[in-house]
Amino acid sequence: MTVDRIDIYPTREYQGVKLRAGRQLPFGASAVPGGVNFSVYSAHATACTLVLFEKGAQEPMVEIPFPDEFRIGNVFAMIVFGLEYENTEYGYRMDGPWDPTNGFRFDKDKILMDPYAKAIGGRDVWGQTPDWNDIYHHRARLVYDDFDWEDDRPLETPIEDLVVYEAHVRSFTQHESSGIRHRGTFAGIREKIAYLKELGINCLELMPVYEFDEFENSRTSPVNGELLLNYWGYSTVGFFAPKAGYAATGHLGMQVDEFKALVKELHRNGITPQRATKTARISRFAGWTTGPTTCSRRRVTTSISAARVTR
Amino acid sequence: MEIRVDAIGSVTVVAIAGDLDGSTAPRAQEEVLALLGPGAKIVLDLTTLDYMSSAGARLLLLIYRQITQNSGDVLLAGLNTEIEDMLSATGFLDYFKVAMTVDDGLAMLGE
Repeated sequence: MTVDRIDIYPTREYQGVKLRAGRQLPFGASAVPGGVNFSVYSAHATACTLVLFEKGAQEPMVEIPFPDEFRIGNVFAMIVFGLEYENTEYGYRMDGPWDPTNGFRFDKDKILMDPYAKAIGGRDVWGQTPDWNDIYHHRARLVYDDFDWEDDRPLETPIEDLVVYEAHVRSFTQHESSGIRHRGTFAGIREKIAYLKELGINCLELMPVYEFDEFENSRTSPVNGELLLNYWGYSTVGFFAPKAGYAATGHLGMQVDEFKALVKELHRNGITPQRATKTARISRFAGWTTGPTTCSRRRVTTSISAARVTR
Repeated sequence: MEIRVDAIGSVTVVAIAGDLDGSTAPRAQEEVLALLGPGAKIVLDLTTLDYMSSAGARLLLLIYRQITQNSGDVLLAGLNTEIEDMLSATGFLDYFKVAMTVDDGLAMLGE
């Protein structure tokens, strides 16, 4: 037993919210005693503001500029105390140069999603038409980072021994003939593990499972007038966040637990999970990319690369 | 959120009613963990629980861990379909014995 930490008390206050300088690592939002540590990297931003929302609210509850003292090198880090963990969404406004010729397109009027977000809300149910007037579509959320993995570990099956089955999370079980409870979801795949074992496979490669925008480049079918969505998902919004619309519990914000439960159960059954990823294709909603004009106005930094984000 | 505690023989029935979420789970944790001595046998009666969030699911697992490390036993009774679905989809249900009713639960714990 030890006494409590002494560096977990606020040192300043902004509009009634208690703060202290944060820790630079890990990036993203992490639980610390009494609060949440927010850390974000930007090589060229001149200022950063943390924007906090109550879950689902149209307007922010508070916007907190990072004090200069809370920036070390290219990292803005701040602990915010007293947040209601399950009821908070957050994003950033990054200020910096607007110089498209040289690749700089900072726009502090836009709210950017945290590139390190582990859960993303706002599109919790697959195919549900969003509110296009929302000022912040894909919303970074806080997650409990205490999933009980017990003795789970990666299987490390040699690649030459893998028998790979590739599947799309939704298509794999969405049809009623799948005969399961949670069709078209991570939980649905878990229900079909016995079937996968029967096939004799030992590796399940899932087409993109991280958050993407199924409405990106959507169009109307000339054949039957149906709205055609970005179904495969090779256009990432957040590489670290399981897609909420693929979770039976996405509407409850529990997609991270549901996805981890699937990974754990696959391991338990000798099946290596793999995920298909194309880092070259990134959604315009991914706030941190270099790339074409369609996405650049929402970026956190001009220099961070997809490769760095996915390490 | 309200908690009612009844002792029935060697079993403690803890009924949690209302919403079990991030704002109520800390109080529920304090009240329920205070009941957990060595060898405790607990029926968690969720018959009148309306809503459970991620924090609520975590509290259930915390109770499970506390009880089982002290050689006790715990089960869930009276789960409604929505909450059972959530616990099932996220794997939390895998840890628990489940009874349809409190009476069934008492029988399963030998009371």
